[in-house]
Amino acid sequence: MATLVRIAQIETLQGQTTILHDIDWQQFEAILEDLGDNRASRIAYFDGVLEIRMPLPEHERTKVIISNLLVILLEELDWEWESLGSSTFKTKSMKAGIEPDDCFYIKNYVAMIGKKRLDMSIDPSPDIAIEVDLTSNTQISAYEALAVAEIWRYANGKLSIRLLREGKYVESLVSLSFPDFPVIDGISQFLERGAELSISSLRREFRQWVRDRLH
Amino acid sequence: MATLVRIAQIETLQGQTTVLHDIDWQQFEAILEDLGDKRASRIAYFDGVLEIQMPLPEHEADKELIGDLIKMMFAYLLMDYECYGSTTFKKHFKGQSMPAGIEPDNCFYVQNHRLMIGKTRLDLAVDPPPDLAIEVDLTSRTARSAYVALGVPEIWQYADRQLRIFRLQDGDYVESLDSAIFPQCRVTTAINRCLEICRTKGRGAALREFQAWMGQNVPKF
Repeated sequence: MATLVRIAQIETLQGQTTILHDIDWQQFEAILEDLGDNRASRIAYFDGVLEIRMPLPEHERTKVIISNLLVILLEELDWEWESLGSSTFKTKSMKAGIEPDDCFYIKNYVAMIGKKRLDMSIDPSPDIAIEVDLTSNTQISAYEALAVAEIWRYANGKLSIRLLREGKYVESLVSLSFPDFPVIDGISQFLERGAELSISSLRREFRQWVRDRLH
Repeated sequence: MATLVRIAQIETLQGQTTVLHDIDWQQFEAILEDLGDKRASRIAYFDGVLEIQMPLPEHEADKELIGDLIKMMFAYLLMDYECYGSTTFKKHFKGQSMPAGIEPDNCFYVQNHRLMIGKTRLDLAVDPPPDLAIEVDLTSRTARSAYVALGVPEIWQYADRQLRIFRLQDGDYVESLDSAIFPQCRVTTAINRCLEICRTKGRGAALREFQAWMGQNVPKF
């Protein structure tokens, strides 16, 4: 016997993950439609496993801080960039899909200006994906399949960087996008201070910290 | 559009809960069959909401110790009891209270123990609910409502390393320092101390401490 439930009947609690097994590509696409666009959850899909994760509010704040600091760094360097936030990146040929907490295009920013629909068979992958609590193998495998060059990962109070090397992620002390800038050290310091300071103050102080290092 | 998935496709991670909405009694019974008997998960069902909870293994040891200390009390006081563990208790009377189902982490029959001797099938249409249910970790509103609907008079809830007593009064659970089952002493206070001793000095020390406490503090009838 096999009882069937609709996706809409399944609730994922805050800070938890619902895992669905044996989901083929067609079902994955249908489930994405069922879930719709107006949702707080993030999905990861690889090897027939679909994870639906519901972030905690504190997780969202950490993400906002990391993204804001990254944008300030880009502004102070006077570099061009694009962001696609938590868009769904999926590739049918690799049967993989992921929604980062946030993502940035730097090298390929021109290709993404004014994009309305993503097609990973022609569009480039983001240069940096930000993930707060990247923990599951499904998430990591999906990123590998999509060949995202760099992941900034925040977990257990620490920021770390993973770079794609021959199809696998390896931890790195420097960022591929900012090889000459102490990204981990800088952002970690300000994340720690984020426990006492408002995001607006963090932004101001980080901008000054970046300027002191660039000039 | 509505994509359907089989219950067997849904995995609940340790320490987490899968919540399913709009589940009617027939589906609830079918899902119980799908889930089978050999599983670590615990369910709670009320008002069309089905929760499937996967306990954390680190709480299993505490749960076992709580059960063992309760059994020591029964033995010390020469009280008869039956223990039904994590049996599924479910109840659906047409036209009466909302259908409900629950699986406690452990449960005991004291007053009605005689009725439960040698039971192989539970039927809450005729069988009484347990006198005491043990719940480890946070109890959800669905679980509480199910306990109320089933009329379980007393729940001992263990969360954040504290065992607390809740008693059914006028259709809701109210925290209490005293247990109706052991009215002669503050049994959960002693159990909490033994759980702490178990964490630092081990199980043997905890059991000995409890034995000594009973000898000094628990008057026999």
